[in-house]
Amino acid sequence: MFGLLLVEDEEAIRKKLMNNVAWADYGFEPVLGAANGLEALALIEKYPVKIMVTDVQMPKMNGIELIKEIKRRGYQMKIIVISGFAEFEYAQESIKLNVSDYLLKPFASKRLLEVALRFKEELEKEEAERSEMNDLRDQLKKTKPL
Amino acid sequence: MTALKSVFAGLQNRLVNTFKLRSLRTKFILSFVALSTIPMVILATFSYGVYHDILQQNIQSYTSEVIDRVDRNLEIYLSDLERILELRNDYYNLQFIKLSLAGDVEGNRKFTFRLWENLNNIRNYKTELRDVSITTIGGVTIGCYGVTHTDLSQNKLFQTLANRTSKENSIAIWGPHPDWLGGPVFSVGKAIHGDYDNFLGMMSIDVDVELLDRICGNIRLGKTGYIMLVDEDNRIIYHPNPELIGKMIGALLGESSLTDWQQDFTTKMGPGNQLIRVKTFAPANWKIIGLSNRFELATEMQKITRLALTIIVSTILVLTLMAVYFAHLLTNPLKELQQSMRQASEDLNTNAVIHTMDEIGELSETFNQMLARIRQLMNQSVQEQEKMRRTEMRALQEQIKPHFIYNTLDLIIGLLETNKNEDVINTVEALGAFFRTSLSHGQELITIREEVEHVRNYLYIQKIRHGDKYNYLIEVEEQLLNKKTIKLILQPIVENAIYHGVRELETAGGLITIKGFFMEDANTVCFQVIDNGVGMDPAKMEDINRCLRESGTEQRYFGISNVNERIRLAFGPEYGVELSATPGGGVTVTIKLPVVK
Repeated sequence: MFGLLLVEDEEAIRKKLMNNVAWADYGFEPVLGAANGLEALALIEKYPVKIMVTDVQMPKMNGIELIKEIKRRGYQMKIIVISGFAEFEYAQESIKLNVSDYLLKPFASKRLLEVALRFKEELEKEEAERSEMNDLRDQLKKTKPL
Repeated sequence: MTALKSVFAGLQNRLVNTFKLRSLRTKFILSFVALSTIPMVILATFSYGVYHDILQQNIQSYTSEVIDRVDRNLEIYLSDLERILELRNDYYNLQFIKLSLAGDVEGNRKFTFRLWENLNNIRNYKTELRDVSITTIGGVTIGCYGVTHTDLSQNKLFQTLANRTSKENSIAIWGPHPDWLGGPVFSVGKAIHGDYDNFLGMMSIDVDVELLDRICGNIRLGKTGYIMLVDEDNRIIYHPNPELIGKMIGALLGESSLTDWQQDFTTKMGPGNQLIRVKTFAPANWKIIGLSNRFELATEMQKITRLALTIIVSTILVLTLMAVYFAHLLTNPLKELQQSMRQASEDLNTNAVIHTMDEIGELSETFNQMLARIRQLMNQSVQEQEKMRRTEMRALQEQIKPHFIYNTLDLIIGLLETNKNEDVINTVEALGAFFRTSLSHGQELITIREEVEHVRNYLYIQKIRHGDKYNYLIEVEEQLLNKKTIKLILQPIVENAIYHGVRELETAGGLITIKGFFMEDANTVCFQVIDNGVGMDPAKMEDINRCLRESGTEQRYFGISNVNERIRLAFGPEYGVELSATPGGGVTVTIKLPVVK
């Protein structure tokens, strides 16, 4: 299970993000779409989201507010910001919030796929390392003389 | 006649035009001098004429009086002589004549002597009497110098008396002629009749013509005028110049004048400009002629003329000087004002200096006010232009919002990735047209057709971006399309309708309607952007409308207030944007514009 959440207010772009990449083929499951921050939060609560791609400008709750709320609630996930804005304060804000990457519109879907795959790999590697470590720890526990 | 009229009209036109071309100062001086001089000249001319007539009348009446006096003196003298001549019927006289006619010389001796004595005595009464004599029809004459035989045919006096048909006692006069001594005399006589009224002879008195000199000689008419006497044959019998006595009057005054002297009194202008009055002295049929020199009248008039001219010329001179002074007083402030105006045409920051409180002062003040107003208007205009550029620039910046561009481009990539080539073509076309109109070569005014196409392109792109959430409808009257408008007024409103209206709806079914039509008066173009979106809080709507009415770009409602401000700057405060609620929900934005061709 490798959950991907795509947050974008514009329907056409959201569809592009969701449909132009065969996410399932690359092991992303489930692939979720949200039109604003509130919708995104609701989905995060329900599904195990590993990577979130979010637009900045959105009605109701924008991207920055959404990220802050995720950090506050302590969810662990990779966050990729996509925006038309290249302004300094957004970049600054993103760095402060420990955003994983920043994609400037317009971009080809494969770029997003590349970034998403890279993070997936990283996460999987971390996961593998963590499970290896756990295995070793288990073994150590087992082999430890009573 | 017509030609003369046209020549006169031409002359008048030229005169008026020449006058028009003159400076105000010259006009004033000319008018002032003309107004004061013309009545003066007319008055002077009339009084000159009147004075001349009065002077001439005075001279004439004086001459008449003098002539009358001469006439009367002659009459008195003659009546004296007549009284003397009454002595002709004296007994001795009659006896002498009878005896003489009878040829009785001896018998007559006694009477002769006595008569001779008497006649001498009579002669001695008056100094100018030369001879007193009695002449018989027999040709015998007894006078102061003795008894003589006379050629009766040569005696004009005797002939006159003898030729009278009836018994007549009036006197007869024989004009100047030489007596037997050769001296010039005139004779006065009366006939002597016998018992049967038969003519016997006459008694006559020779008077020295010196008497005429004594009566007329000391009379002067003016400085050089005089009196002269002319007998019935038009021979001069008295003239101050003795050499002229005996000459014909025609030689002196011209032949032509003689025939007209029949009336008692006539006035003739003789040769040499003489004023002549004539009276006939009836007993002798003589003419008393008064001559006065017209040159004296002329000299008198010349004096008057000189005086009048001096007064007129000096008055005109004084008046001209006064006119020049007044013109200077009047036109100097005008010249200063003119100077100020000329300066102001180069530099608007000058002001006319006000010296007087009269109309010119008021004019200067008004001019200053006008200058101030021009400066104010110019500043205002500059500021408005600046503001216009600023708002236009902001409107343009709004058009090229990065968000819109990047999202659209992103969308295009998305479409390409899914091979929706038709949609890509349409979108790229719409995007190109959208920016072409936005920029429109820097022109502020575009046709309504272009503006509507612009918003149609915008809506097309937005619709692709936002999917089936809403739809749009454009209904603009055909006649409107070729009229002009400032650009980019619909798109910001439509943008609001999308983002604050239909896109906020929970469900699909949003509709944006754009209407364009003429108002009832046909002088106003009206656009309406009607959405059926989520609508607006009435208080907020009221706040936006208040901001729009108060004008100025309000940062909170930038898009709509920028449109409103640009319309007002371009067309005036009676035009602009207003919000109202769409019946059934949503917002209607009404834009009013003038009809611009």
